[in-house]
Amino acid sequence: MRVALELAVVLIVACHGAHAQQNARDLSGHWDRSSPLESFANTPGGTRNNAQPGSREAPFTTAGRAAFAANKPGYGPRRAMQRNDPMGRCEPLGLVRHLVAEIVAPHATFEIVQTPTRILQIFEYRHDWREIWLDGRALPQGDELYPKWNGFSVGRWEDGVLVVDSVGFDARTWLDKLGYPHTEDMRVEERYRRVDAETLELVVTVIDPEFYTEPWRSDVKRFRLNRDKSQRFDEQIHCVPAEEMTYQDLVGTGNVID
Amino acid sequence: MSRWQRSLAVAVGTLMAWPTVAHHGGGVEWGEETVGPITGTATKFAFQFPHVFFEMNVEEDGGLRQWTITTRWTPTILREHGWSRESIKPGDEVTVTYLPHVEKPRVGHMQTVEINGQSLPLSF
Repeated sequence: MRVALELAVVLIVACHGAHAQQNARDLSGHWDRSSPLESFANTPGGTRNNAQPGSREAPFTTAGRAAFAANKPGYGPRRAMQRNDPMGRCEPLGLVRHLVAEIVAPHATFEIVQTPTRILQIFEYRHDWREIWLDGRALPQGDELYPKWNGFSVGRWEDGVLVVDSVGFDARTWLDKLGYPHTEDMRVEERYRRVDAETLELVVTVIDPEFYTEPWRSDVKRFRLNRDKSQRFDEQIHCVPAEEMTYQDLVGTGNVID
Repeated sequence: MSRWQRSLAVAVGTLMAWPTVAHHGGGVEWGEETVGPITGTATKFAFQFPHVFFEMNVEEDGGLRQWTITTRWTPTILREHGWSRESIKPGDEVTVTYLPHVEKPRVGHMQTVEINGQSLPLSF
């Protein structure tokens, strides 16, 4: 009897290990942000209203600082009533802002649908999505490259980490709700690691020499698998101008379409 | 509602107001002190994105004035906590405490609410 029990335990552990191994390269599922909301490490204000201990200024170039000054956010130390946040105008949020997952729970979430050659990442808030090609293709260059809201993305596996490189961004989006800007020439690297069956980690690095003097790396973002959500009908959260403008007008935040 | 219940509601409302960060602003448009309660008759319930709001007529100086009360919640969040688009109907008696808008009169940010004398769940 004891031998049988020990054998059962060994089998359970082995199966669990095989399951975990199998999952390391499978990022499928609904993922809810579980880590505190910050956008990029050590930036003034984080996403709160006040400066964080140990914060330092973003590594702006002169042009980057000017672009930052032109953006009027509703959050952080520069928050103001009259703002020009693209979010408040129903404009696309852009890839990096989607990844920051700044919206309040339960909207700080995305779904990953994975095939052998392509990942579809679906962002619930705004009902937006992007693709990550896994088939070994190169990123577009020259005439094939043009600005898109979520850019062009290719991914590869490095051990247990999915490394995603992206280029070709529309510069009208912000990196986060604090109003950090970027250019069309921004490159973005994402590193996804499935820590265990329930946890996904993500680090985002922005490389944009025209606006930032050095690569700018985010905090380690953690997302928790939401199995229940996978069994439900999807949320269809669009930004509807008739609704958004009504609200913006109501609260008087200046985010109206000119 | 008894005095202590009103005090509790205001206290809870004040606590809820602390992270009054919706996704459309860092709270700069709202005052910091919860005021009210005020009571009126609902005329419209907008159970929609980005933030649910409702309108009601409130008696002031012998006449009726329209108030608009916003919430920091989305329909998704409110549905998860028992609300529906029928939670407030035209004609309902509505009592709210709120954060006042810093510039606009008769616009508030809901902290607590009672519909026809019944509290709607906000304990989240």
